[in-house]
Amino acid sequence: MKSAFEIMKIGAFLMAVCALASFGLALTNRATAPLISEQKRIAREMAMKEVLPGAVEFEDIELSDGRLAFNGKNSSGETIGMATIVSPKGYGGVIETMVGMDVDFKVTGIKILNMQETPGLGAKAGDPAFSGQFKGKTGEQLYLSDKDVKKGEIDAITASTITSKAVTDGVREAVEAMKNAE
Amino acid sequence: MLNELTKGIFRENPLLRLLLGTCPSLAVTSSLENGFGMGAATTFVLLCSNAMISLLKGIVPSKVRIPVFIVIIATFVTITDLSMSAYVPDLHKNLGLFIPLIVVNCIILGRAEAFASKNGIVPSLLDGLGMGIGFTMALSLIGSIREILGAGTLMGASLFGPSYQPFLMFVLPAGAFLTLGLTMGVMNWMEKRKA
Repeated sequence: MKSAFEIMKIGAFLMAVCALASFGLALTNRATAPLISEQKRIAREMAMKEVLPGAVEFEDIELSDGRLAFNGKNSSGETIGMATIVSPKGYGGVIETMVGMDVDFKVTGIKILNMQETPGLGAKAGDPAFSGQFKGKTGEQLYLSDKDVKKGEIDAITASTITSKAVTDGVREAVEAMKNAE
Repeated sequence: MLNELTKGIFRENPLLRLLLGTCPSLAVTSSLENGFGMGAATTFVLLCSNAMISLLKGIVPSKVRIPVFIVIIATFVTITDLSMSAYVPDLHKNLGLFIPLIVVNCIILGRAEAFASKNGIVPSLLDGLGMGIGFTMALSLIGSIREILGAGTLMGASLFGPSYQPFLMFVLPAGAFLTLGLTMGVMNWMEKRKA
């Protein structure tokens, strides 16, 4: 009988510790959840402003294939372009990239949101020297200049063809998706 | 009493002498900022868990002490994770998965089991603080070495100008092992000379 009581006591103790811990976590979550979603929103809006220069207001749209995209409007309320997020597979995982384009589907800018590419090699995809090349390009120009069968106008990063190709293909995919959605 | 604080910094440095917590140390020390951030987060968890476990030392049934310690540690780690995500999102993004993994960092459970569960709150706090500072210093040192050699920068600021060709290897995993090994070698050599 004593051991059954002992087990109950230990169980009750564990339960009390876990209940207290959950209470502490609930309080923390309540305090930080609005701040975290605000930070995420700010980060997303900064990225959208970067890929769509001139846009001040954004409106979420859902494409027919379920992809999320945004319309960007300038200060007088005209739609000047749109942006969407693609996740092509790079060398170290997916490269989450936001792609902005104007109403004629010319790329206005790209921003890499998340990647695990090799530092010093593939991670250079985030540098303006590579990502800046996309500005002003149309769908047909979005191929690598020397590695793709179909010659395009994007120069690959030295020793990082997989990353370069992934980003280029991703940007092209974004442009095609937006075109087809119209 | 002061000994509890200073032992973790050099003589019993958790990373360079006790060889605890090497996994996050190898993974996140690609720059000074990351190394220091990881150290600070670990220190906070260590302080809180040491204090809590020391307070509970008389009433935790010894059969379930490990689950209780883990729940306490996991709670403080989650609090740290959420707070960092809310207040320092960039650092939080860089450290990524390694923040939740502080739960299984053996320094924390090691100090709980070896020290806080047997000592009063003041020595336990000092022990946690000392171990935390020692761990942070070790991570910052390794992070600095790897960032200077591997990227030619410190805290993101360029050190040697644009013509410097960095040793890429040092920011890659192999560089982490080399730097950790060499740093420990220097520590051992210093210890030997002293004796």
